[in-house]
Amino acid sequence: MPQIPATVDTLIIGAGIAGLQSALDLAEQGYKVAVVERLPTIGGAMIGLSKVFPTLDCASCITTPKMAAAAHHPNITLLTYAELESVEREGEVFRAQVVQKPRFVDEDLCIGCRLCEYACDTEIPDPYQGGYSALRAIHIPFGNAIPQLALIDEERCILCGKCVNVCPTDAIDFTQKPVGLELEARTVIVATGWKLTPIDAKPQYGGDQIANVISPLQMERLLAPHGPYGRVLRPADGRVPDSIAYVQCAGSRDATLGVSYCSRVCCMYAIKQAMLLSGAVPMADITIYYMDIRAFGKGYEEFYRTAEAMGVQFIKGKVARISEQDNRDLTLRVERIDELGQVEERHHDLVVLSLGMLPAYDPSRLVPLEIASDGFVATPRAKEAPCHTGVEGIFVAGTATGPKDIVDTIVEAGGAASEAARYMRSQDQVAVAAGSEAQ
Amino acid sequence: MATRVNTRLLPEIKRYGAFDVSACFNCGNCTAVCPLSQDNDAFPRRMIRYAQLGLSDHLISNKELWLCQHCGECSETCPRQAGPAEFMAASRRYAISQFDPSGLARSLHLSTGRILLIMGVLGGIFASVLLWKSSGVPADSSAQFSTATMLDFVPFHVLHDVGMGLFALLGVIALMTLGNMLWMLAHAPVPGGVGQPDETPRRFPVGTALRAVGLTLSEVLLHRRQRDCDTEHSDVAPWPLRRWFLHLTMLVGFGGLAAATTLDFLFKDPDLHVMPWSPIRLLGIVSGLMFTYGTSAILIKRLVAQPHPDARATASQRYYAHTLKSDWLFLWLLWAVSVTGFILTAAIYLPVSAAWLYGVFLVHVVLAMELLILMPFTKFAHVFYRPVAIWYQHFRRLRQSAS
Repeated sequence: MPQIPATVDTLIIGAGIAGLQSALDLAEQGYKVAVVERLPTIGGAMIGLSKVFPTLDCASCITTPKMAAAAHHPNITLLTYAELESVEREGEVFRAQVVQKPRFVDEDLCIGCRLCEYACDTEIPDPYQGGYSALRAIHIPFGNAIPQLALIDEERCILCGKCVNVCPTDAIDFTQKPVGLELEARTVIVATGWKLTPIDAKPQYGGDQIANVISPLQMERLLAPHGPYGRVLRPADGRVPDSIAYVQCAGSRDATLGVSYCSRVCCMYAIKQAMLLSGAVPMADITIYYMDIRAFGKGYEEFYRTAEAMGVQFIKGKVARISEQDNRDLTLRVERIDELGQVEERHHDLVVLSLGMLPAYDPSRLVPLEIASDGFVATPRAKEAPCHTGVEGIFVAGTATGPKDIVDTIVEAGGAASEAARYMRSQDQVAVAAGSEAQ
Repeated sequence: MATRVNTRLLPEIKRYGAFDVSACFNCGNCTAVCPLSQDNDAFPRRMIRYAQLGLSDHLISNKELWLCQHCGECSETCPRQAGPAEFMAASRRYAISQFDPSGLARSLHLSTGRILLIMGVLGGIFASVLLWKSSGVPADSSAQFSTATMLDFVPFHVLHDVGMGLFALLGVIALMTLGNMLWMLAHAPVPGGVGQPDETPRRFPVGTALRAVGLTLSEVLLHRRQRDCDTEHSDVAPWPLRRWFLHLTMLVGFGGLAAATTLDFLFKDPDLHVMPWSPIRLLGIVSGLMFTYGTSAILIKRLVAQPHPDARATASQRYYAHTLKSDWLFLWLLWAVSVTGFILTAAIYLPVSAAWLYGVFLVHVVLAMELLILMPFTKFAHVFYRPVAIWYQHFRRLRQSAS
């Protein structure tokens, strides 16, 4: 068990790219920060991406250094695989209850050698690889996970004991129990992030029924250098796809899904993936079915035009139905709004549903803050203090406030750190003034 | 042809039904999800666009308006919940009122007061003409109620002459409104070009037109489109209660009744009492039963339907919840005519005698006459607009595949 300080300046909820950026910005200014993360590794959604728009930088080349910097910073404490139970205000400070979930591996003894993983015979689906490859029941989440600590899947482990026999440091401990921790902090930054619209949200797309209809995060893994297959293959039969389609607005801008807002990133990630696919599967035709392309950021419109020039086909019209043929190809039914408005049935090998962004969960259950009507954290003073929740001392960053891309997330994370620092500094000045008056 | 923009078009169509197509962002989901949309015969998005732009002529000259069978799939899946299916239904009502220059159709669609007034005045006129030479209800109240006593009450020649006159009038009006529609169809803009008339053939291809008639008849009689619609939506009713089946019973029932009546007119001595198993009478009885079943079941389905304004309402919930004045008028008329007809037929074959039966007979005849003469102005008008649109679709397809 690492040493946990009882008191920090800032408690950050979520160790995705937003939480890490806020943590680093505050730690650099000398503030003590604790980051609580539900998953066994930090890095959030971004560490699972292949490349990022509009620069096509490698996502892990940006994320991994930040993860390492946070892990090694003397002012930052990382609490991974830890569930936040509650945050309550007590006078000037916040008191947080956190439960450290048991890894069944002693965190001080484990050296990350993976001998246990090699010995384990029980295979479980690997969520990090989109479910397309397997993990062992005892595993380190993925190659560049931080911390490099093994953990046991409690549900699926068959307690055969093979890992115990091979562990060189006797770190495996089946008797571990959840441990409750209490933390005191002067400020809180909520960086709870997002999740994809469920792939089966729109039954007409057959997302959970048809193997070759996949989510954009699954495509990220197919494109990633260390992906499940090491190349782009379609999941149903392992064929190299010749024709890949993107269905835009498959999970947002649709009142029947309860998601009327635009998720902002889907146009750009679809274009990015289309570009990457042009490199990964050079002979494949790539088609993007869209309602309108929202290339809103710096350099994004140029990015879109480049994709067009590279031969990515853009077809205006919302796909209404996807059905599977006997050879496991797919038929998409769409009205060609850019042509004469005729209905067409078009065939593709592989379809990516451009799903939208939903809040990862509702943090108002744990933290005293307000949720807006769209389900994301409310920012009542969006124009003057965009990272303020409206509650003294609680700030918010990244996709917790609404759908946004990585660029905007980093900006907001810096903003939240800056607002939190200013808040604590003014607290300090009041305390100093009160102290000198007392003298 | 100049393009006319009617800036009041959307609010005007809205009076004919509930929808919110100003929310539409033209994604095309409705058209692509529609089981009946195919190739260039695509709807409803294009029609919504015409309405948004105020292109009234473009809207009502579209055959696609009548190809829609209102399965409701588009409204169920519309990302903006704009109600495209309800929009199509409202546009059809609007089109019926536009093909009729007299304004009568508009009144019958929009104002309950005028519906009652028109029905009352027409009913009064018909009743007084029919009773003009009546010898009244039989003095002997125990006399068996029969065809002969009915025709003493309303003399056969009066019934015959008024009926013939009405049919002639109906024919003239129907030809006028239908001519209006056909002219508009033929001059409908082609997709992709605004206001361009359709390419007109040098010589009218009679053979193709007749083949299209055949296709239309088989399609209408088998209710192929309604069944295509039905398989798609989430209505789980057993088939005797499905929308297509009920509609088919009404269509076949009505057709059978019309045939039986015509045959009676042509071949039967009006005073003659026939047995229920004589062929023509049997046809009439079976058709009447089907007709009564269909109209009653549909009325009940509509009456028990609750409004379902939320996004998750199923297609059939939405369909029956949006019943407008014109729907009620048409359905109640059909139902009243069928039920009174049923009572009269039963009374002829049962040993009964009652003065009120002659009242029922009068109501039956008056309502049937009102139903007929108001045909081009009410929902009933779909019996000629829809087949014409289907015929036109087949005709154009055959011509395109030939060229």
